[in-house]
Amino acid sequence: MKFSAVYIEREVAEHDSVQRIITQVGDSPIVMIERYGEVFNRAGQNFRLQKRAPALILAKKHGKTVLPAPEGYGFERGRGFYFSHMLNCLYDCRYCFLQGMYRSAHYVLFVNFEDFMAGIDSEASNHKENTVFYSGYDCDSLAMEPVSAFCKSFVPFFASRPESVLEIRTKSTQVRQLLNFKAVDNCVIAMSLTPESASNRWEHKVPALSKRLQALKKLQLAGWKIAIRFEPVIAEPGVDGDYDKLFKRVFSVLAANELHSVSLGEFRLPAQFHKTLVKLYPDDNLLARETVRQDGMLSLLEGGEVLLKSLEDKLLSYVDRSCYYRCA
Amino acid sequence: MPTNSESVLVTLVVALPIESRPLQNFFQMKPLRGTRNIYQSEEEVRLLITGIGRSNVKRSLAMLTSGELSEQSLSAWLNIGIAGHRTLPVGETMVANKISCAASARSAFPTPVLVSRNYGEVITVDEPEVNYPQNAAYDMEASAFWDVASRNGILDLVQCCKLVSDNPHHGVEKITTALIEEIFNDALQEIRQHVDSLRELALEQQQLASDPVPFLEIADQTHLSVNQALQIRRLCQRLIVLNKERELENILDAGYKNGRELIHALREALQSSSE
Repeated sequence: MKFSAVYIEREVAEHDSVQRIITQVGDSPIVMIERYGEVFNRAGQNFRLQKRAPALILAKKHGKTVLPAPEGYGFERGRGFYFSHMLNCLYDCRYCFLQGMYRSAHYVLFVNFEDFMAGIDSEASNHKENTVFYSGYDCDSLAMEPVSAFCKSFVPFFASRPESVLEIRTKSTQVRQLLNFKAVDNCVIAMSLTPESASNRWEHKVPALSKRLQALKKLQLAGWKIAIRFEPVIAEPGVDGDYDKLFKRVFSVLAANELHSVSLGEFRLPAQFHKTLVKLYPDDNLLARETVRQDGMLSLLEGGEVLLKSLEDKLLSYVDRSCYYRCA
Repeated sequence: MPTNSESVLVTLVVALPIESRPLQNFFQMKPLRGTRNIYQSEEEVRLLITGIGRSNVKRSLAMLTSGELSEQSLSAWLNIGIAGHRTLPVGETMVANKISCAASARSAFPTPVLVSRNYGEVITVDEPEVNYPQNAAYDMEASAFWDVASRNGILDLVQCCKLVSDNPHHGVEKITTALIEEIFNDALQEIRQHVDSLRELALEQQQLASDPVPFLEIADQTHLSVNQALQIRRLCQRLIVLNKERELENILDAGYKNGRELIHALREALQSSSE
């Protein structure tokens, strides 16, 4: 893989992962740094400009590695946590909140997986009921697998902790590493899908829908638990028909009755992030549309309950209600 | 989207007049009236000659960025100059991916947006470095350039490119004006590429920040408060992006003279029909 540069925190320079990654990044210039904050999210940086040629930053995550998941984030009941071994994403989805969160588009990969694992064990031991750990909140968990070795490390880790569940959120087709493993019962691969027209329009650099469905099919046939996150729903003329086509296509490839869960969730952004996105992309159609604000979150005026209910009805003609939830 | 996209400036910063001459000729620059150390070309490339050393750079850049020339348009910044290097041959070019100040031990990291054969650290020293202790370029201006330029615009558009003038096999005592001119002349095509890259990036940002033409017409004809102007600017932008230019034209033709009524009309136009 090629990056415009690879920055390495001196503290992790000798870490095994860093040594491995250095051999994979070709002739990308390597720059030693003290802390990733020296190059990431500096005042005056521009996300859109950096997105043209992002760099990779190899760093150590300090402080809390595992955090409580937002209410209604996932399907599972009980305690939910998320952890972010990476900040930012290979893809460039126009609706993504990461653009509003960071001024920098460089990828930060925290290589001290051992500390994330200790954090996971610590939270799991604090709770008697099953605990779900979500990965892919601040990044795409699979997209950088050849570099990050995230699955290679965390899937075996969770395989030996059946009382905890790992949900990997992704839009990637990088499933080779997963297919090298025997399916792990407490590991869920959750793919985010939007209709093809929306994906073509808003999800830049994301693999084609057909390729993602093929990757999911391989995983399902290999016994992996698959979840589909039909998110974000972006209201626009013809969206009902677009979802008719999407559901038909998805459930002609995947066995609906074997899915772990499915969900629907509207396009929503914290108002402050929306404001930042408008500054970055004032020329973007999605961000020019009328919005409604509720509890500090903005959503499209054209969307709302009626649309979601309609899509929900369609979706529930394919899947059992027991495996459905609406993303909060 | 039709907007009032102004031009952008790429400002080249050099220390010595001898470094500036090949650039002046290549970019066909002329002295800016009323200045002794600033040149500009018709293609919006500006050149600042600062003098040697950090304090000269800070003083020259401060004058440039605080004076009347500071308001012209969005600027990208490129520090170009000779430097010593432990391993690179004389005449080689290097884009800085780290700029360190030897005196303060502070470092900064220019965003990697320029393509070059060589990347590396530039260490700014106050006296010529003749021992080249690190595998880096040694100069006398880059860190001061960064300190000032990075406060004036988009951080990602502040860049530094060094041309190797000396190394352990070719010491500083062998640097002549003829050598500097030769080094610069040989690097002109690469410098042109850097200028073009920075201009392209800056122009994209400039266009995004530009006022939509309909808004300029409104602002010209209607008295608006600052808040009203900001709202109307964005409403015009949104109507254009959503392909509602005809609605926008109708509103302009209606000749609203009151900012509040105009905002109301623009809002209604946005809500009136979906895309």
